[in-house]
Amino acid sequence: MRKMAIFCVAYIFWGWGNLGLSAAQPVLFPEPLSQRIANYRIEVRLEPETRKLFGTETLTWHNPSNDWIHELQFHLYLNAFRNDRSTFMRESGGVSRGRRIGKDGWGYIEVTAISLSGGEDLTDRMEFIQPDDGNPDDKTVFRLPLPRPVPPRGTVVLDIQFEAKLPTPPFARSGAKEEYFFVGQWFPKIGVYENGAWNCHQYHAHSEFYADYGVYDVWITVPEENIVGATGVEVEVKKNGDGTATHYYHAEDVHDFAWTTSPEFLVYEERIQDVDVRLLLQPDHKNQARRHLEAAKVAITHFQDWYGDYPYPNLTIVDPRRGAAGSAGMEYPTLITAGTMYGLPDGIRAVEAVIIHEFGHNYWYHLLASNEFEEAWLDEGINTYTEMQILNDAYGPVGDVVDFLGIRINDLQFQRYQYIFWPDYDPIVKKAWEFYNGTSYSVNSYSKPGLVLTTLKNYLGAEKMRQIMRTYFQRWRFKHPRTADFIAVAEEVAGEDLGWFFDQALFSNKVLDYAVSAIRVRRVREPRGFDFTLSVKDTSDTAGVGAFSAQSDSQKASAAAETSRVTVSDSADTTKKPVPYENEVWVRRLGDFVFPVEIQFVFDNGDTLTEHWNGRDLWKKYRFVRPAKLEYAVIDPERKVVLDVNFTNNSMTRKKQRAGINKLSIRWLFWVQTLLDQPELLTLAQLFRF
Amino acid sequence: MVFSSLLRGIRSVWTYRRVVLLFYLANLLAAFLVMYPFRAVLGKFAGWSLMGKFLAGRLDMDFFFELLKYRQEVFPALFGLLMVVAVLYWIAELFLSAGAFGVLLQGEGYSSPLFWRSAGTYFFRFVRIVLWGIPVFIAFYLIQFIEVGGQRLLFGRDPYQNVLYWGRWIRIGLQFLGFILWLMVLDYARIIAVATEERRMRVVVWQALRFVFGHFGKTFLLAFLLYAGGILVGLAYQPVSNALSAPSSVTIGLLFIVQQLYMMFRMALRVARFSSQAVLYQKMAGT
Ligand SMILES: [Zn+2]
Repeated sequence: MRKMAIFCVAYIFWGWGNLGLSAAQPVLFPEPLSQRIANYRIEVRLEPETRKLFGTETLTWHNPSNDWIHELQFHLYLNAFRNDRSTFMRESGGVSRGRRIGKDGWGYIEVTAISLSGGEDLTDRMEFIQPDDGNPDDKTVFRLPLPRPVPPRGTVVLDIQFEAKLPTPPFARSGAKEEYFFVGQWFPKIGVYENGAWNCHQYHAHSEFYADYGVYDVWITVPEENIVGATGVEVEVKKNGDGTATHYYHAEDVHDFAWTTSPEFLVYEERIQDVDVRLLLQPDHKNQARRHLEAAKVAITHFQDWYGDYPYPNLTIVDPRRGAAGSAGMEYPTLITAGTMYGLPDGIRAVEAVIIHEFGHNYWYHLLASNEFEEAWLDEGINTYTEMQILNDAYGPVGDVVDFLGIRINDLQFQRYQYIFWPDYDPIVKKAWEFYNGTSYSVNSYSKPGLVLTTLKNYLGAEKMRQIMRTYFQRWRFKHPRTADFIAVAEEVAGEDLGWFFDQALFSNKVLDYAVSAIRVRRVREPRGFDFTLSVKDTSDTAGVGAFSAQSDSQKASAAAETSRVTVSDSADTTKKPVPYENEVWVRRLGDFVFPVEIQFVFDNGDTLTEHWNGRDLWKKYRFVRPAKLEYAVIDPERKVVLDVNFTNNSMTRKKQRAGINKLSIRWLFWVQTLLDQPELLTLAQLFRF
Repeated sequence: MVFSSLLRGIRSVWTYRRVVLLFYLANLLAAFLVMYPFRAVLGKFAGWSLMGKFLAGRLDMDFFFELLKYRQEVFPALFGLLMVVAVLYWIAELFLSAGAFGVLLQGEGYSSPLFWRSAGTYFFRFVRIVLWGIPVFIAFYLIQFIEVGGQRLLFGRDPYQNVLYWGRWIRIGLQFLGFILWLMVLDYARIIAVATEERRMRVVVWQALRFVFGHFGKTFLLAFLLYAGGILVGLAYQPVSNALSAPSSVTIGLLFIVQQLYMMFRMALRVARFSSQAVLYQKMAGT
C-alpha cells in the first residue's frame, strides 16, 4: 500500500537528444519497476484549427533478447482512419461503437523523417507491411531495416519526425470535437520483440494493443487557455509567449501515453487512499462531479484492498465532450476516460461501471501488459470479472448496475444476458480479428470470461479466487503474461488440476446447460403377480418405509452401484406408517460442457436432500422412496454455475406454478389495457434515450 | 361554467354506468386477446419451473433475459398481434363512442336501443371525423417543433446537454398538449355531429376547431382538469400496485382487482369527459 512520493525530488539531468527542451527530469521510482525497453521523448504541438499534430520523437529501444536485430517494426495506429480501405475500416464497415466516422473526419499519421540518433537518415528504408491480412491498403504497421543490427542486449536510438491528423468526431477512441481533443494511439510506436520475432499487429476493428514498458517524457504544446490531462505527472507548464503553452509530462514504467486537452474542462482534485485523483469534467456534467469521484473511490479502494498496490502516484479521469462519445470508456496508463449524460439517473450506474472498469484496466492491462491483439480476454475478461465483483460489493447485492423504476439488474445478469445470445460462435482464446463478428469478439472477450471466472470463484470459493487474482497480479506485474500463465497460477493456488475446466471454458465453444427433464411421483402399491406375497407394510423393515432411499440409474450399467446411497432420516414414529411414494427425477446434460453440479430435492413435508452429480453422463435418474411427495427438484439452486445458459430448465416442480404465471400475465394484461387506453404514454419512452 | 359542466359530467357517470361498463369490457377483451397467447407461452416456458414460482414475487431478471432469448420468435408476433388488436380496439371504441354521445346528448339516461341505434347511425360519420382529423393531428403534432426551433435559435447547433435534456421534457409536454388538443377537437366534432345532425364531417371538424379555439379558456380548462385528474389517480395507483408485491395468490388476486378498478376509473373518466364536454357545448351553443 505504500507508494513512492510523487516527486522524490532526485532530479537528474537528462541532457541527450536533440529536443532542445532538456528539462530537469523527476524520478518517480528510484528502482525501475519494469524492464524499460521502449523509452520515448516526444515534443508535440497541436494545431486546433486543422486537428493536426506535429511531433518530434526520440525513441531509445533496448534489445531484450539475445538476438541480433536487423529490423524494427512500428505501429502507426492513426492510419486506421486514413481511408475506407484500411483493415480497420474494412473490418468495421466504418462503424465503431455504433458510430460512423465524420464525412470529412478522416485521420492519419505520416512519418516525415526517421534517422539514427547521430544523423544517418533511414526514411527511405521504411516499408509498410501487413502481417495479419496482407491488405496492401493498410498502413498501420511499417518495418525499418537497420543499416547495422542491434546487438543482443544492445540499444538503438532513433529520431522521428511525424505529422498526424486526428479524426473527427472522435472515432474508435481518438479524435477531436470542436475545442475538445482526445489524443490516443497517436505517435509512431515500436512493436514488441519476443520469441525471436516482432509482435506488431495491424490495427483491427476489434483489437486493442500490446507494447513494452518504458519511460515517457512528453512536451505538449496547446493553446495557452487549454487544460491538459495526460499519462504520468505534470512536471511543468511553460508559457511560450505566442498564445501557446507547453505542458511537460513524465511517466515511468508505463507502456502507452495518451493525452487530452480542452479549454472547457472543470478540474476537480481529491486524494483517495494514496492516489491523487484529478477529474476533468465537461461543464454540463458539473452536478456529477461527486458521482465520478465516489466511483473512483470505490474503484481505487477495492482494487488496492483486493488485488494489490496501484504503484503510480496519480490517476486522471477524463469526461468526454458531448458528441465525442467515441473517446469514452477507454483506458490508458494513469488516465482513463469515463462518459455520462446530463440527467442520468442515479439508479443507472453507467458512470460507476465505466470508471470501475477503466480503472481496472490499469491493473489488468497497464500493470500486466498482456497481448490484447491475441488474448483480449486476459485484459477485458478478467477486468469484466473484477468489475462485476466490485459493483456487487459496492452497490449490490441486487440491482448493482441498474436499480431504476423497480427494475433491478446486476452486472452479472447483464453479462450473462449478452452471453446466452452468442454462447458458441467462438472459443475465448482467439486472435481479436478472427472472431465471427464484433458481438462474438465482445461476448468472448468480456462477458463469457467474466462468467467463466465467476463460475470458478463459486467452485473454488471467494477467498481462494481472490488469492488467485492477487498472486497472478503480483507475479506478472510489469511483464507480459499469457493465458497459460494465468492457468498455472490458478492451479497452483487452488492446489488442483483445473485443466478440465479451462480446456472447456477458454479453448472450446462448449455450452453448459443442465436441466431437470422429468419428475414422476407415484404411490408405492402392493406388488402384484407371481412371487409376491408380501405387502408394502411387510417390506418396510428392510426397505425402510419412513426412511429414505435414493437410487440412481444412468446409461452406465454400473451406475446404480456407483452412486446409490441411503440416508436414514428420523423415523421415530414407527406405530403409524405413512403412505410411501416413489419419487423419480431425470436430469440431463444438454450441452457439451461438463461441470459438477449440485441437485436439491424438496419434498412436501419440508424435507430437503442434496445430491452431487459429476455431470459427465448424458443423463441420470434419481429415485427416492419416501413417505412424502417430491415438490420440486432443482439443479444448482443458488445459481453458482453462472455459465449455465438456461436457469429456467434447471428445475421442475410437481405442480404447475399458476401464481407466478398469473402474476406476470395480469401485469402484462394491465400494461396492454393502459396502452390501448392511453397510447400517448408511449411518448415518455423518449426520456430513456441516453 | 367549466366547473358546473365538470360536475354534471361527473354526476352523469353513474347514470350512464352501462356505457362505462361497455367501454371497460371492450378494453378488457382487447387486452385479453393479447394477454392470452403470452400467458400460454409463459406457462409452457416456466409453468413447471421454479422460475414460475419466483415470478409470483419480483420479476427475476435472469428469467426475463432467458424468456427473451429462448422465446425470441414470440415477441415480434406478440407485437404484431398488439398492433392489430389496437387498431380493432380503437375502431370499436369509436363505435361505442357513437352510442355514448347519442345517449349523452339526448340527456334522458341510458337506453339500450338508443345506444346501439346511435352507434350504428353515427359510427361511419365518426370514422370520417377521424379521417378529417388526421391533418389536424399532424398540425398539432408539429407544435413540439417550437422547442426544436427555439433551441436552435437560443443555443445554436451544439448546445450543452442540460439544454438537450430539459428541451426533451419541454418537447414531451408539447407533444401531450398537441395530443390533448387533438382529442378535444375530435370530442367536440363528435358532439357537434350528433347535436346538429350535420352530415358533412369536414364542416363538423371545422366547427369543432372553431369551438375549441373560440372558447379556448373554457374548453381547455375542462379538458386539462379531466386529464390532470387521470394523471393524479394514475400516480396514486403506482404505490398501491407496488405494495401488492407479495408472492401470495391472495395478493395477486388483490392486485388484479386494484388494476381493474383503476381501468374502470379510466373508463368512467372517459364518460365524464364526453358528458361534461357535451354539457359545455350545449351551454355555449345555447348562449
Ligand atoms: Zn475494457
